[in-house]
Amino acid sequence: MSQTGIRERAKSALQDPLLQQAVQFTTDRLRTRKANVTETFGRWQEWRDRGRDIRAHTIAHLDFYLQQFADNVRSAGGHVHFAADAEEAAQAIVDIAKKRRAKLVVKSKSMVSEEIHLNRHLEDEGIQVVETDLGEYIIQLAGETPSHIIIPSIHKTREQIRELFTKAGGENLTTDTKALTGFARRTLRTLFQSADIGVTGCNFGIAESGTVVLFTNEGNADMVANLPRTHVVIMGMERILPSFADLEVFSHLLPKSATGQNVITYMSCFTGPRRDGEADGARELHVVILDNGRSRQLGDADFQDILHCIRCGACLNVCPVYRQIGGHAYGSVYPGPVGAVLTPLLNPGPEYADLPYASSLCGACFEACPVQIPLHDMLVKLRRRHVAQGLAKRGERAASRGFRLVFARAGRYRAIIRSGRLGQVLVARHGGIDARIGPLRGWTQTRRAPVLAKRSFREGWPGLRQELRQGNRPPATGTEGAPAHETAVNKE
Amino acid sequence: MEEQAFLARIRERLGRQDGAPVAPYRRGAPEFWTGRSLSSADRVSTFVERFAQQGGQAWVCPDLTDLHNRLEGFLRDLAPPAIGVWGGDTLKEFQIDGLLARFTVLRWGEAPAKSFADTHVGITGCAAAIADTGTLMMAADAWRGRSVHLLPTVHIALLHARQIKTRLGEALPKPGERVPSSLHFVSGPSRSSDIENDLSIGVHGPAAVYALVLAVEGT
Ligand code: SF4
Repeated sequence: MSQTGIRERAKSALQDPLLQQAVQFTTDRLRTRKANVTETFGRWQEWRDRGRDIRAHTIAHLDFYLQQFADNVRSAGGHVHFAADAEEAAQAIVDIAKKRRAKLVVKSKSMVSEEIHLNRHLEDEGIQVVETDLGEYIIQLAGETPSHIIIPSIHKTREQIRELFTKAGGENLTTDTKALTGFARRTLRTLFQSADIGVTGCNFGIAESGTVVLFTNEGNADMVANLPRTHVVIMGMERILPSFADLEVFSHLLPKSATGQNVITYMSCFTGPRRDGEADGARELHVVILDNGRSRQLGDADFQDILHCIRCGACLNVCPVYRQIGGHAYGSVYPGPVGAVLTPLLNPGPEYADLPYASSLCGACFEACPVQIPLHDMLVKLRRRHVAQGLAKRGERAASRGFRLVFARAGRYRAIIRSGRLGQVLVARHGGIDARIGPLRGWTQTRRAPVLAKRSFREGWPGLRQELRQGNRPPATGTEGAPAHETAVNKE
Repeated sequence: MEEQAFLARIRERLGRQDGAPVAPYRRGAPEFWTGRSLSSADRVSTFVERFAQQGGQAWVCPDLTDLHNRLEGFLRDLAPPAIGVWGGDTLKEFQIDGLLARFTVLRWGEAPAKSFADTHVGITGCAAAIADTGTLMMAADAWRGRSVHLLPTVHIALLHARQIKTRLGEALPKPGERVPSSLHFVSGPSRSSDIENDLSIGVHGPAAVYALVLAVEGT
C-alpha cells in the first residue's frame, strides 16, 4: 500500500493547495464546534475520565466481554465469525456472498473494511460493491481513497463532484448541493433495494445483549443494514462495551468529539436479525470479528491503550502535521496521530516505520482525545523502538529532529515558514529546492523540497475563510438553527 | 480462526486465566449525570427546544383536537400521494383513522413491506423520547416496521408527554431486559456535509422530522 515514504507523499500533499485549504478549513470547523459543544455540555474532563475508565476496563477483560458478546449475538439469532487476520476476514465475507450468490453489495463507511481490502476481494469474485456514504460514494466514483476519517471527500470540489455524478448518469446537474445530493439519494435508493448484502462497520458491540451499535448522520447505514436480505457487520475485536449503561457515556463522547455535534442524528442498535412476525430488517446477520495485529498490543504496557480508541477523529483535527499534509500522505487506512501510532503497530516492519515521524509531538492529540490515549508518548516510544530495531534510516532520524523543531510550537512554526520564504530565494531553482542546507537538510538530502507558497495557508487563511463562507449556501428550509456542520461519524 | 483459539490468544496476552472473575468498574455515566432529573414540564420544553436544535420541529398539543388539527394541516400542505403508518393498535390512542380516511394509507403489517418505498410521509409513535438530546427512540416489532420512518421524505412522530425521559440512559434497555431487534434513535433529519462542508438535509433518511407531543393533564 505504501510504495513511497511519508515524506514523498507529504511533499505532493504540500503542493496541492486545494487539498490543504480543504483540510484546514474542515479541521478548524470541527475543532471550533467541538470546543463549543463540550463547553456547553460541561464537566468534560469527568466525562473523559469515565470514558477512559470504561475503555480500559473493557480492554483489560476483552476475552470475557468478547465471549459474552459472541454468545449473545448467537442467542439473538446472528452468526459470529472470528478472523485472525485481514485475509480470513475477507474470506469469511466472500464465502457469505458466494453462498448467497450475491451480485451487488452495498456498504456504509467502515475503516475495517478498508483495512481488509474488502472491496477488492469482492470485486475479484465479480461482485459489485457500492459505497453509500455520500463522501465515500464520491471518492469511489473518482477511484480514490478517503482523505479524512470522518469526512472522506473533503478534497473534492462541487464542480468535480458534478462531473463525477454526470459520468455516473446524472442529467443536467448543477453544482448546487441540493441537486447533487438529490442525485445521490435517487441513485442509491434503487441500489439499496436491489442489493443482496449490506456491509456495515460497528461503532460499539454491547456485550450484555449482543447488540451492534452504529452512529451515522446520513441514514445510509440504516438502509444498508435493514433493506438487503443479509447484513454483514465487520468489526475490530476491541469495539466492545460491556453494557448499554456504558453506551450512554459514548453517545456523548463520540459525536461531540468527532464533529462537535451534541448528539448523532442516528444511533442504530441491532440485536440479531429480524424476528418472527417482523416484515423488515435483514433476515440474516453475520458479525465478523477481526484481530489483525490488535491482540499483539494487549499486555504491552506501552501500547495496549491504543485499543481504547473510538475512531472519533478528534486527534486529526488538532494535529498541525495532519492539517498541513491531509490524510492521503499517511498512505494507510488510518491517518493522523491515531494512524501514525496504529498503522505501524498493526503492520510491524519497515513499511510504515516512518509514520511516527509525521508528528510534532506537541501533545494536542492527547488533549483532544475523548479517552485520553497518550498518543504523543506512544509516538516517541515507537520511534525509539524503530531506531532500536534499525528500522529508522539516518535521514529519518534527522527529519525527526527537524519535525520536532518545526512543529514544536505554532508560533515558531509560523516564524520558520516566514524566514524560510525569505531564505529560499537564494536556493530555489525550477520550483524545487535542491540545496542541502539549513533546517531542510534532513528532507533535501535525498529529495527535492517544494518551494514554499508565496503566502502560507495560515497567512492566507482569513481571506480564504471569507471566500469559503460566501461559497456556502444557506441551509435547507426547516433547518434554521441547525448546526452548520454535520457529517457521518466513522465506524470501525 | 477457531473461536476458542482466538479468545485464548487474547487471554494469554492479557495474562488472564480462563474463567477469571471480572474486576468491578465504574459503569455508565458519571453520578452527577445520572442523578439529575428534570420536572415533567421541563422535560417537555427541553425536548421541544433540543429537537429543534437538531433540525426537527416539535409541537406541544394540549388535547387531541389540537393534535388532529396540526396533523391535518401538515398533510394538507404536503399532499402526499401515499402515507405509511404503523399497524395494529399501535396508534389507537391518537385516534387518527378518521383524519387519514381521505388519503392513500399503507398500514405496516397489512400492506407489503416493499410498498413503503413509495411513501412520502411516515406516521409513527415512539418507544420513548429524550429531552437532553431531542431524540426519538423507535423499537421495531411486527406492527412497528423500521421502513415506516426510514424511507419517507417526512417522518411525523406522535407521542405522549409522559414518554419523554430526561436522559438517554433512562430509555436504554436495562440489564437482563429483552432487547428489540432494532432500536433506532433519531435526532433530527438526515444530514451530510460531504459536499464542500455545505450542510444538506435528507441525503438518505427523511428530510423533515416532526413530533407532536400530546400533553393531556393527568395522562
Ligand atoms: S486516538 Fe484519535 S481517533 Fe482515537 S479516540 Fe483518541 S482522538 Fe479519537
